[in-house]
Amino acid sequence: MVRPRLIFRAWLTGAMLLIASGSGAGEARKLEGAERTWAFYCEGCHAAGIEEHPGTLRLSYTRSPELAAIRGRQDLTPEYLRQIVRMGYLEMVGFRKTEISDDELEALIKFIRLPVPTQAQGEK
Amino acid sequence: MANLVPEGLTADVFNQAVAEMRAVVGKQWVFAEDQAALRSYRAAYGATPDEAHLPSAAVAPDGVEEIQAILKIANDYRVPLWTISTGRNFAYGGPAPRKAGYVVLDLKRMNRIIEVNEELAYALVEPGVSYFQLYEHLQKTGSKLWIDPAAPGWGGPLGNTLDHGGGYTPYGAHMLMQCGMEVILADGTVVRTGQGALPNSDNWQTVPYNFGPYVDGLFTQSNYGIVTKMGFWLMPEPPGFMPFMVTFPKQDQLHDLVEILRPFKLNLIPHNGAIMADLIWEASTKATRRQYYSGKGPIPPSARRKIAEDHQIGEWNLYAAFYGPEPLNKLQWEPLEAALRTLPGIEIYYEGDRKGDPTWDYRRDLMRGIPNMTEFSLMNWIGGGGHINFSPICTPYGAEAMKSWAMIRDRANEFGFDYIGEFAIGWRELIQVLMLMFDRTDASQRDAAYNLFNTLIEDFAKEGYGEYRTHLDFMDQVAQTYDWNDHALLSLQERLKDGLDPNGILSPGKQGIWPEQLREPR
Repeated sequence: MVRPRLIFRAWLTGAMLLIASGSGAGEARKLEGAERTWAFYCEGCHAAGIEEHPGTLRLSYTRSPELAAIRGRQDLTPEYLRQIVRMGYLEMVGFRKTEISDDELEALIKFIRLPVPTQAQGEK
Repeated sequence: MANLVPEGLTADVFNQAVAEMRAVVGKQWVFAEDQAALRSYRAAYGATPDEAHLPSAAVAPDGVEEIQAILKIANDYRVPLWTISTGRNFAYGGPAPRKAGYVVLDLKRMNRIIEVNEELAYALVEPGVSYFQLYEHLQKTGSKLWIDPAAPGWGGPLGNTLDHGGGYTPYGAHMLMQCGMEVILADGTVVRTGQGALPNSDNWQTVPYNFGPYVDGLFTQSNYGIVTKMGFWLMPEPPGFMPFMVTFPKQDQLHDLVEILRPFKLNLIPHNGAIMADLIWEASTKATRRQYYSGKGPIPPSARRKIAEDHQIGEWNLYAAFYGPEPLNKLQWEPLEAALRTLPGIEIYYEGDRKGDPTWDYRRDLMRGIPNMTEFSLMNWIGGGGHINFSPICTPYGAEAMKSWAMIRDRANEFGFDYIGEFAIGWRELIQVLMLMFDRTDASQRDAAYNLFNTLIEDFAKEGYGEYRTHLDFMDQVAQTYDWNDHALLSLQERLKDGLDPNGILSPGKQGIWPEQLREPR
């Protein structure tokens, strides 16, 4: 089964990020929260693995296979992500503040832009 | 303050109501001036412009007391409240209100999983709980219970059940699995249904009925109350799970397939609701229309053959599963398999036979109660985001299936669209879903989709087929088709509405039920 791995890998990767960034406990909690936001609202469409994820598949068509998975993409500016997450764009719907609060959105943006740990790169 | 104001209210009165709501839930949970926040409530995939369904404000309470206080304000000032749970029901309108200017009552913050009972296999949840969240909870707690998600996992059990939604495991008939509700009426009264009406009962989530009339159904697809808690049964993990897929090379094999399935389904074989997806629905998770055809109008037969060949799929593709001890699963599969094998050209696939096929993976996961989002790839078929579902009911006879399929296909083609659809066969019902895909950035396609939808409602009503659910834009039209004995059913629904919500504040127009003050003469 593919999905449980995708969703529950979250906790493990969160801990790895903490070690990697050497940041404080508050920051780590935020990133862990962001990983959960990612799992509930983003990953289903945007995880790596082009074929199973509609958003990744879409971006492989409209951009390129290299730009298809959004995690780790530094070229996606915080402003752009803020706009897209709230307002949506074509096939993607916007997310309400009751789903992703402003604070959660800022943490999510940081999370998306962080380099992807190698373990996650091969995920499918 | 706010730009948009609910119909019939002055800006001053509305601003006063908004201010009072802020005092109840805190100012951060009322959205009125923040246009970006309000835009996230739009009907993102509909055939009408966003403006047709933009709210004037949204208020997000957390708890029964806050909802009661909001109801008092809404009654005082006659503010129309449009209630949503997770608000992710996008092919039918998502979080958007029926009319522009309503205030959305967004219950997403109420997302507690109140109880999971492992021994009796049930859950009690609030409206904001999503399938992903419930699945995560069961995994983390080591539960041996399965959920029954709708195809997009970001929806939730409460909202999906209230809209008569379904899933893909043996517990897929969500209305049948629902057990006990807590509902707040328009006047603020809190009611618990079923055995929940008996103080100290342990049976709220085990026995759906109470003494006297069974009322839970009144709060589904309706605007009579706000459901704040809902119980439902969860399936215990079976000792074995045997999913399968069968491809049918010819379109008219739908007839024989339904004829074969009906007597089996009456005996609950296969164990879940079987899905018969058409070629394009099946292909859209792994290909785009443009890769096969760049002309206008429906895809020609030669391109269809190429798609089928490239992806080893059929004109129809049956997905279903058996659940239980493996020897029993095999025994029950044998007669069905033998019957299916009488049809020429079919192929049967089991677990492991379609490695790397995202469609098999997501279908199998749905039948196994694992939420995912893969079906959203349907939108990649043409791009542009537009999609609404036309969902008529018919009888599970082969001839009926063929007739209702051809009716949609021909009309879709006439309006310039491909038929992208599936049939779900349940105990005694056959539900067809047309995924009406269009490029929402193209006004002519939006209009054509809207007109096609209205035409289909009329076509189907003439033949005695009703829709089981519909998008915001078509609720009145569909409600008007259920018109036996001079609209006796809708009249009853309206009398209930007037009695329970005399000020007409709860979701006016939901499912075509309008409060007296907004009702148009028939």
